[in-house]
Amino acid sequence: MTTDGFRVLDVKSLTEYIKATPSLASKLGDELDNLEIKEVGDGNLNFVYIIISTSGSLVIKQAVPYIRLIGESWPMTKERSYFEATALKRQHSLSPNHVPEIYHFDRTMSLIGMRYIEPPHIILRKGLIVGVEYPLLAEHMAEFMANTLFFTSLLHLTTTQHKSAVAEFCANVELCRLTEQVVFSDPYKISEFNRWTSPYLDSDAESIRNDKILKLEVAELKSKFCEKAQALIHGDLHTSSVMVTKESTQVIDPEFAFYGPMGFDIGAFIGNLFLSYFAQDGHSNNANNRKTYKAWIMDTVANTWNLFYKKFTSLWDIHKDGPGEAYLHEIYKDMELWSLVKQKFMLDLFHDSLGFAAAKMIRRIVGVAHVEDFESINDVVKRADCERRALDFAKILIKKRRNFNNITDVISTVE
Amino acid sequence: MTMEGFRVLDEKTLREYIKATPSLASKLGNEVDNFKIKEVGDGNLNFVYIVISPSGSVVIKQSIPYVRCIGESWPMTKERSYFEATALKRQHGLSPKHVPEVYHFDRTMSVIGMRYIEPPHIILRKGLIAGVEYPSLAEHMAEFMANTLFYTSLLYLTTTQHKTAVAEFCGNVELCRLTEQVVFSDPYKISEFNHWTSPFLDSDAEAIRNDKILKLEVAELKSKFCEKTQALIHGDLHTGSVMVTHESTQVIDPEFAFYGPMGFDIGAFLGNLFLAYFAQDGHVDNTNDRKTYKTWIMDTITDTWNLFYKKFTSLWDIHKEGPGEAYLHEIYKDMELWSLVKQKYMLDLFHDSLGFAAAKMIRRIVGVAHVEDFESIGDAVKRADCERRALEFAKNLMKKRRNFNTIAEVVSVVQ
Repeated sequence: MTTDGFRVLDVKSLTEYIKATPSLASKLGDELDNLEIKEVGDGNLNFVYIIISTSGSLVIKQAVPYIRLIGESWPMTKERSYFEATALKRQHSLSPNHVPEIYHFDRTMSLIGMRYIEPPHIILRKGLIVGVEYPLLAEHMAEFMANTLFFTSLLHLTTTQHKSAVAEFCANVELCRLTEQVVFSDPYKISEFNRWTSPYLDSDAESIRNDKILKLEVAELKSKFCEKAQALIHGDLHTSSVMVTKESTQVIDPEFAFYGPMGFDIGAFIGNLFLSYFAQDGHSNNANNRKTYKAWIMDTVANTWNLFYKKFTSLWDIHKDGPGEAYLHEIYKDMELWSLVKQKFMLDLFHDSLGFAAAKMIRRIVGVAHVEDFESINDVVKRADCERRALDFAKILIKKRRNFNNITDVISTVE
Repeated sequence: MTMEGFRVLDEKTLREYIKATPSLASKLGNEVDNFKIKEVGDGNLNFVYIVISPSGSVVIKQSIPYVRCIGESWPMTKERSYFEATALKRQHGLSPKHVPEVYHFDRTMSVIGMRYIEPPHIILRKGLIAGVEYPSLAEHMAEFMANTLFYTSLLYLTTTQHKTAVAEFCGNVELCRLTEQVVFSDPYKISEFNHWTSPFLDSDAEAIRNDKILKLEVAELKSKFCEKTQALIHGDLHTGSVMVTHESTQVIDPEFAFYGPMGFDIGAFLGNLFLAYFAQDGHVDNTNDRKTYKTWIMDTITDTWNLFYKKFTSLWDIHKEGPGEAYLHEIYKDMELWSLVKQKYMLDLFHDSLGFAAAKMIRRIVGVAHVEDFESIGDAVKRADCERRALEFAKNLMKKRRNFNTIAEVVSVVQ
């Protein structure tokens, strides 16, 4: 298709590709004649193949030069696979229990080969829709976020290392622009791709487009997204970027990764948990009123933040005399001051996270890409009702976030 | 860092260099045997030669691979000349009346050839010490800052252009690290190079090292400096980086240029005007009590900010439907909202500027590099007294900056 050697694979050509690539063939025990290949990409952007042989398995992910969900009318650089591969390697080294290992990366073919996250792992979002509890989810996500955000920030890096990494990921600009458009811009004006549960949410969507204070807050968050090169963030940490079993949590799809505000990752995850919460009433039935499950989701939101707070500040304490240059130990070692430093940093991060959570919630209800949590509620009236309650909460969250000092206060606003 | 082809010039070798460089020789009317060379570098970093022939003139600036005022024990990449040349060209493109034109740049030799800013231009700092009024200074600096900051920000650039520029200037990390060290770190701990007017300011310096709230504020400003890639800033906009006559204002030495917070430039300039103000009592003599001059300095501070506010928001209004992506017109066009947007943005910028001004003031009194405004006060007791009053004001400014809504309020605190 292109002159640089790139071509979109299908099941047949993928088999040939694997046969010609030792690092992949070996993962399949070199038993390549009876491969089971299934294309499972259900995200918005790429092709994803699961390949199983009698003695091994792997996943192949290929980026195509457009947004798969929309089509060739929305081009999107296939170089995103380079940033995904780079981010996956970095995240795997920082959080090996929660990130699949990369076996192979082919930049020309925009192709990544990685560990197959095998059944019974499912996409977290699907588990949330059917009402499955994951007792370790909060702990695992807190660990993933604390490790990936702390170790890539100036709390641990020198500014020399930091600036190099910032510069490298500046090139992932097209993916950033996608987020700038669909999260921070389109929902706040008439846009070609916006949609919502109509006609029920017509006036809700309109009032968002006319809400001055909301738009002021969104502008501040957008500027932070574009300018605050705080840490290497996943960039799209919603509940479909996580695969789970009761004992295992795996974070995938970091193709939006770049140096941005930490709160964007925390907010994405918590925001999507809130969406799942508000969708529960749409999934309740005679057998299960989802009351217990809703309480579990709220506990998970609370635990995720509180455990993240604990783990992050713990890493910071451990490394306070380390190479990080934001808070030189010699200046900040006084005990009272050190405590104030951590409190202030975490409170600012908390407020950032709430703001980004709200922005992510709003865009999934009145923007281009919706979430299965609501879309799977067939009763349109019921769906709109759930979505409206989520919207109203999100609007309060974004406007009043600085008044919240702990996650408990936020949750009591929901309930 | 490769040294291939690089050699430090002196007057003799510079003469040969110019002869061999047409873009420079032509500026001198090709009368290469008839030109006078004088080395005038009085900054901390480089060699600066003024070259004059009967029919033309040129300035040659050469970076050497260490901090000149310290010596070879403090290495500093000579690549800084690349960033200075690039910044000069950009600034000249945006503010041609206030930036010297670049004629020649030799990356290997770290040599810049540029327009000679001829007498009676003098360094602004010297004029301030001598008590000279510059009636157009505020207007000119406001214009320089408004143009260079607006047009390199997301109020005018797309995020694609912005991120490319951010990535390029990430390469200027060594100069950024110098600032991180000498402005945001060293003054707040025991550091080898710190000095102050001793013993008079011994306890003032100690109080700074022990001031928890001050250090918390400095940390926040340091993080902004390291992370907030808001616009292409000059990076060292003190009164030694400006050359003036009654009618002309020229901004030089942008070797610290990178993508950082706008407030750092505004703060550097205002902060150094405040330093000049507090030093005036040390320059009083029988003929001149400097009272009128002190008022002029305060008026200049007020006018600089107010004119900057006017010009910056005016550019923003003119270009509100332009390519800038931070505040898409379609979202922010409502008149009341547009007004709120500008107010909020400028207020945040004002607070940033005050904070950075304070940080720049403090570092010049208890840090490694002092200012001639104070250093030229022969009487150590008097000097310490002036410096102490500047320190007290700066500490208050940094801690209370968010309470100020206008520059008039800040100025009345001084007086």
